[in-house]
Amino acid sequence: MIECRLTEHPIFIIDQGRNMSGMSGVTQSGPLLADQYYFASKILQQSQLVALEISGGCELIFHQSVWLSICGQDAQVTIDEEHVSMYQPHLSKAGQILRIAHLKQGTRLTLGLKANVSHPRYFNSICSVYREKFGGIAEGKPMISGDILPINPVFIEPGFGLKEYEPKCLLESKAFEQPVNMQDDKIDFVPNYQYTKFSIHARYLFTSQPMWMSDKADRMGFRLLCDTAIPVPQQTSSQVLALGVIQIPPDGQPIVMGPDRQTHGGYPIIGTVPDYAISQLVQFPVNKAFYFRTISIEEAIVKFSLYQAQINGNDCL
Amino acid sequence: MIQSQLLLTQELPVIEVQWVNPTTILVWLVDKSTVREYITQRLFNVMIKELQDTFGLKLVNVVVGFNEILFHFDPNSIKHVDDLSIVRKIINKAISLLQTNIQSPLMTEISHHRIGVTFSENYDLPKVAAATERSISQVIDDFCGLTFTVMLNGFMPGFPYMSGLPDNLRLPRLATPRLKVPKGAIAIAEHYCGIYPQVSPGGWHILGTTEHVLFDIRQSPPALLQSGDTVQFFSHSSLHHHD
Repeated sequence: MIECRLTEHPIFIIDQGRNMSGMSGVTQSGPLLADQYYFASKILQQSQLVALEISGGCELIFHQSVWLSICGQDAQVTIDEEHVSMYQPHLSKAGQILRIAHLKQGTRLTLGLKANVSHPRYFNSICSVYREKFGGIAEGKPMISGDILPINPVFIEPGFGLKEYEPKCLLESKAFEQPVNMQDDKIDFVPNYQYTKFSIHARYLFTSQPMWMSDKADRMGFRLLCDTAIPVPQQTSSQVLALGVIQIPPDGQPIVMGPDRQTHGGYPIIGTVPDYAISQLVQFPVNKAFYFRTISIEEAIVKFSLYQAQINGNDCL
Repeated sequence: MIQSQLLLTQELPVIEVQWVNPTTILVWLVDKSTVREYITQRLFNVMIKELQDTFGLKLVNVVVGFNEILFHFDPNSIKHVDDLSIVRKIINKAISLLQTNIQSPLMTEISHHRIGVTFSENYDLPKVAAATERSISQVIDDFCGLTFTVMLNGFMPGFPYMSGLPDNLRLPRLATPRLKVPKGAIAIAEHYCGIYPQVSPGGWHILGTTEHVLFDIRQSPPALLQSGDTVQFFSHSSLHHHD
């Protein structure tokens, strides 16, 4: 089991997301930082990987030995005071303590675990969604200080990882051209849904002015701030919400919907942030401005394919 | 642009298909006013079944809307051009089936449910009666005489949007939503009737409550009411004899 001794922010237990949940009105959930999650999954050679989504400093005690991998932007991570490299497999032994130092605002890490969780699975997933009252530790709750997560570590292959995962290989793979550049101040968006119902002025305002992430951002959605409110067309009926749709509510401040979004929503939608760009968006610090960049769905598909190839196509991994 | 437009005859829908992000296809009716709700719902049910049979585990989620459906695919096995082509073919097949079965229901598994209601004057029943110019007992009798069709589950787990409300019972949403609607509340607003599976904020007119469990995560499927199911309500209470 893993004991959460201390954490600044709730830690979300995630996997690949729920299967066929939408027709019951249940959110799909799944990883917020898909690139980190799928890298961790690849590194640990584990399908349906169980992972912890961490957004602040924390201290975890491993009461069993387990393979793990931490993916994300550079952070101070130690196991028993020994530095832990990102994007590498590590064997944490029973009794060891993993510490993550305070993270910069906006930074999020994914801690992949080569283990099964004995908690009930709903829609073939253990994702925690507190609003829906199921999944996670219990009743949809994320991990907080004092919580315990029972795990069954997987040791299918003796000596797992040490030969196959030479650090050199991984470092080389990280040098590949990234389809998502974390330093870029542009976020891709694909016009769709009610885009053509927005006035030309509204469309201009959406891409021409700087946006900021507000402090109201969670796995359900990310409220953005802009100086000039975006004029909103009339919208009367609810519609289905894809991952990354950008709703414009009556106050004219955009909301980008995340993995824990409701299945339906009634605000007009100007477009979607492609799956691969959500990681980049959600890690923008509150005080850093960015702009939306209009791209076609064809461009988004090409970038997505590069992104998938980077995760799946590298034999070094 | 990767999309298709299917022009149809009679009152059949014009449908568009498009990737809205690299893992999700949106299928939607271009002009919903030309299509009756029950035809949309039947068409969607046939499309979903065909797509599930064809794609299997590759199709990881489906969300049904009033005029559109989202199909979400496993990001590791998408073939964008091929998959869109298959979806187009399946839509054409579903429409062909609909054309040949326009007078009779398409064969999809649906259930009929009878749900007991404790009508209560503590919520919006008196206001609904006043707004629709009838007595409370007439509202209850009229409401219990209706057969609703479940369009979809949405808003919260197991919340059914049901069509079948006549024009003379249609009311706009409350000007100020309640912060706390009780579990099991049966409510109406605009074109729809709904049942709140859990305590929630809400802006619909509450007529009464039911003990029926609408959503149980331990069941499969967890939502009691599925798209296409029909629902009739009957009164548990003797309230309508009191006014």
